[in-house]
Amino acid sequence: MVTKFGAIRWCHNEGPRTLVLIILLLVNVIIFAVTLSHYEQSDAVYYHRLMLGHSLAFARASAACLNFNCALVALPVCRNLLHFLRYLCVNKRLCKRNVRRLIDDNISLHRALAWLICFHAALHAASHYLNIERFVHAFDLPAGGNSSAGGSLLRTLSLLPGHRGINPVQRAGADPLVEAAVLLPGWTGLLLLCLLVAIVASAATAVKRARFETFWYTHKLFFLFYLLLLVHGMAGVVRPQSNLAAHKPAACASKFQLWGSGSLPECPVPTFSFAGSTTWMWLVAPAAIYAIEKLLRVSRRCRRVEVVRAVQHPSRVMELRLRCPGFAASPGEYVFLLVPEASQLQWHPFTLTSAPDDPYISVHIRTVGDWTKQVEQLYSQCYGKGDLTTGERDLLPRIYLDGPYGTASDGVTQYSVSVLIGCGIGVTPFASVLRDVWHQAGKTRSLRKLKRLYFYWICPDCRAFEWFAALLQDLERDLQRMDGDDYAQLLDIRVHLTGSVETRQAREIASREGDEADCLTGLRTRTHYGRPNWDLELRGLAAKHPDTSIGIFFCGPGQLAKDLNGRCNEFSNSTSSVFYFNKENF
Amino acid sequence: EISPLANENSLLSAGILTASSVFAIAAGGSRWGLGIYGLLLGPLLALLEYPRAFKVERRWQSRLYPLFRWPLIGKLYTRCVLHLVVALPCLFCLPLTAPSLSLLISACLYLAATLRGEKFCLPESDAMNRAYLPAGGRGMSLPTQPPPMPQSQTELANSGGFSNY
Repeated sequence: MVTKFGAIRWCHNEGPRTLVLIILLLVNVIIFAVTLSHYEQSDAVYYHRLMLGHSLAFARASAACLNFNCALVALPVCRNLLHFLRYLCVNKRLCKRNVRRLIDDNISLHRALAWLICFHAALHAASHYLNIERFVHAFDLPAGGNSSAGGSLLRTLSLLPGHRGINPVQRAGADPLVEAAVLLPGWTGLLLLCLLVAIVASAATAVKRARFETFWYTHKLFFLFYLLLLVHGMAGVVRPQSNLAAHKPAACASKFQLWGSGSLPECPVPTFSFAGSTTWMWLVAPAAIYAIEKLLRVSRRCRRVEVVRAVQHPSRVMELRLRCPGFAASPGEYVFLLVPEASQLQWHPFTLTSAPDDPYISVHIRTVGDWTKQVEQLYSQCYGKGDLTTGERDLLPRIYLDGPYGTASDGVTQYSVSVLIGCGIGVTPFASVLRDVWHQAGKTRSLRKLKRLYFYWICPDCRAFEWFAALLQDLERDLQRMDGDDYAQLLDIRVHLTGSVETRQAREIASREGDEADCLTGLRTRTHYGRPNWDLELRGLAAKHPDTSIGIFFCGPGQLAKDLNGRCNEFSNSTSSVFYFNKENF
Repeated sequence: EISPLANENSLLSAGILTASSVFAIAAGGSRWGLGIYGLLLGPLLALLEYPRAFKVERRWQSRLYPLFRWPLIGKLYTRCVLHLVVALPCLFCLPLTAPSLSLLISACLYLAATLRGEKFCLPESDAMNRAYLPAGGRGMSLPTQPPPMPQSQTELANSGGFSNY
């Protein structure tokens, strides 16, 4: 992987994420090894080791890892926390670009933690199954006579009265299944495993695509999962020895028949006590962060949001222009909308299509599902009215707004060359980015590092996105007016239409070849037909901008995202430029 | 829809049942013989649940959909009863208890899906899918996008990939 440019270039793109995953695995290994070593060597669990073998150590080690991973798993999906971290990185510039890119990859971290939880849960359950079998076996050992000394020792330990013993099984001929079911950690453990299976199954692509709410509400079972996790260890089945100073297990184990008798004062009866569960210590911080997330959402429901205008665009697209005092967003960010008259519970995400300098907040809603159709019916009365008066606004259905939340597009101005690639509806996040670039170039002249911006728009046909084509026309025209200015050459637009073209349409396109504006999009930039050849495009960019960090920002189908990511790594290796791939996630 | 969740839950539980059965047999312990039953049942259940039609971007796709055509397998209430009956014996072996409970949850989900009137859809019964099937009705659906337009050699050599304005 070392090229003539002297470095493993793919590390620029994939390195930070890989490093985080390696650190996560290392921490798990360390926690596992330290806990395993403690339970394998500690005198406090000497008799437990005699009774249970190595399975106790493995069970406790995997439990420690479960505490760690369960504490972290909810954090990568706390939107407000991520937004705060992004604010510190982008606005306050407290961290480097590669650290900010890690925030965009939060779902990968969430999945990695989930898989680790599954692994350790399986190991923990298997170890405790062996433990319960050995507890039952230890109680059923004969008391003395022809039995081995070890067997009698285990029987003696099992017969220590009531809460002083180490064996939770207290009757002969017990059934391991029944004993597991009556113990608090037993039935909570079974429920936890079932919940884990349901939560993991709900994350399958088929479930999310069929109905997102099924995935969403099933994943909310994590709340019950955390509650069961808290109580799971409270029964104190594993009780370390508490009188180690008086009773040394290594010396006294062989003399178990004389424990507590006057003839062996240095070996009193061993006592065992439960030091308390530590799971709550791991879960208190994520629980607090989650509670703050929920409180913030509730408080935003009290925020006054007004609909100032509703605009009908072709192809069933509705633009809602909102006003919310105190709301500030960066370009490319998204919000959640709640319209109680359409649904009391459902918050739906929409990318902001307005720039921060615009006097309103706008979202473009395509009516494809039940919720969007209901919302369109509720606000369609405002079509054609322009800006609404205060009285008219008060009569409209209430709307609530949660956000804004950042995305990968926050980093567009952190590269000297940025490439925006929008496929179909994925072009929406870039509307806000392009508008902001236009505002900044024309007014404040501050685009940080950005010198050149390429924009690829790939869609089957433009008819679904006339509103976006109009935005591009305005941008192209305004940037042309800056002739002679540095920013006149700022933006390059490339439109690719991948849908079929009718014969009549093709004749019209050919006949209007010499027109100043493209007949389909109205732009001075000519439309290309067919998908871009990414090998040629990236090679051309690298040739045009050598020794440059180029940011690729993509919003579109997952398969193309994987393909582009691979090509970015490939061209980072084979050219002097480095391509950083950033994908939009909601 | 609940049936995709029931399907995925059952598929995952079948996999866990297989692994737990291997563990139960290897570890021994009480009623380990049920591990042999679980080892046979797990792969069969996985084979039953794997063929599934699911929607991706408004069109139905399927995994091994010819198996889907068997009349009983396509009915949700049949799957509900099947899961209920085959999972019950596994409850009595401790390593198999958790996957068995998950299978019972899948049975409940299938029951809920049946009561809601859901049913598995064969890809060729959907109008959008029919438009893309080749003559004969079977096989892969046609691509929705045309192939990219080939560029001329001159254009390739001159542009270096990206046009300058």
